[in-house]
Amino acid sequence: MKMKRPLAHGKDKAPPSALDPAQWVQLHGDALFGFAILRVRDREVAEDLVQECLMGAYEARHRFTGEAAERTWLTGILKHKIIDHLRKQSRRQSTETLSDQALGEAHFDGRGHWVGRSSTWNGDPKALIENSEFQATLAGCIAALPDKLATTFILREIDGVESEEVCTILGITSTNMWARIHRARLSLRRCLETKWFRESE
Amino acid sequence: MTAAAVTYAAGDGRTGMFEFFKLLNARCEDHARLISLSMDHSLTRSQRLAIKIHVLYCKACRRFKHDAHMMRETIKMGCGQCNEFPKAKETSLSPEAADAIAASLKARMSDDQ
Ligand SMILES: [Zn+2]
Repeated sequence: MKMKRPLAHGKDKAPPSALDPAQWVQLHGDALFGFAILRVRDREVAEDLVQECLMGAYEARHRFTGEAAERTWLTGILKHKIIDHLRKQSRRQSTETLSDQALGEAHFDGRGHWVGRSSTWNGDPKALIENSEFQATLAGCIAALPDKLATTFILREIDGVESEEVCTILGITSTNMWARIHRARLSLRRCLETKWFRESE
Repeated sequence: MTAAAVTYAAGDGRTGMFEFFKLLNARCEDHARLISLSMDHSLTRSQRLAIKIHVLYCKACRRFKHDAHMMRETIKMGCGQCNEFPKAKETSLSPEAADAIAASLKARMSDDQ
């Protein structure tokens, strides 16, 4: 007859599934940093955020359920840290100092007509996104957006944060947010136009 | 539709027929703004109708509308690389930062032992 093995002491037991904090910096450091710097646009801040994220994750390690991959779980924590940071930052710069109008290049002439021609965009979004060269181009175009446009656009269109929430986080009016997203769209489109669609015709 | 959205889109708070006729003569720049807004916010009936008519004869705005939706759809499919800062520049933690973070994690972990 087999003896029942005593269970490991609950408290000292390693968290479920394999979190390996000692390896975090090496395995995920750069990816987390990339995720952060794309959103905060400042190396030092991004590095601080990665640190806060990993320290916070360590404290919260018992909450890791193993449902998501380690990287995904860490990224989720980082996302919260980034949003907190953006929120604090918007509180510090209570007034919009930069004229939003000054951001981004001209897409219309003085009479409100489109400047420059566009080629026809064909193709199926699914096929496009599965093309890693296209992804790289798109990522490059997003990264090349002016800071404020990028942060706003990424929160809304990539992170899927609700409009009202985006306004609160960034401390801007909805009018301001729509204007930024619109200009981000115009810039992104021009960038993709030049770097992808024109060449692939 | 909120007052702010009307003002942003039409330039003033007027609605109804007046807004519609004004929009019919609006410039492409204004139509493009409306097209973008419509992706995040509901438009007034006159605004929707004005866009519909405008894109019938304006190829440039028709293309913008198509491309803007296509961009959104494509991004929604999940662009993994969009979450990493693209090559060239700052793609990784500086070695100093990496060491510092690893050191603080290690210190914190040894507290537990
Ligand atoms: Zn037009």
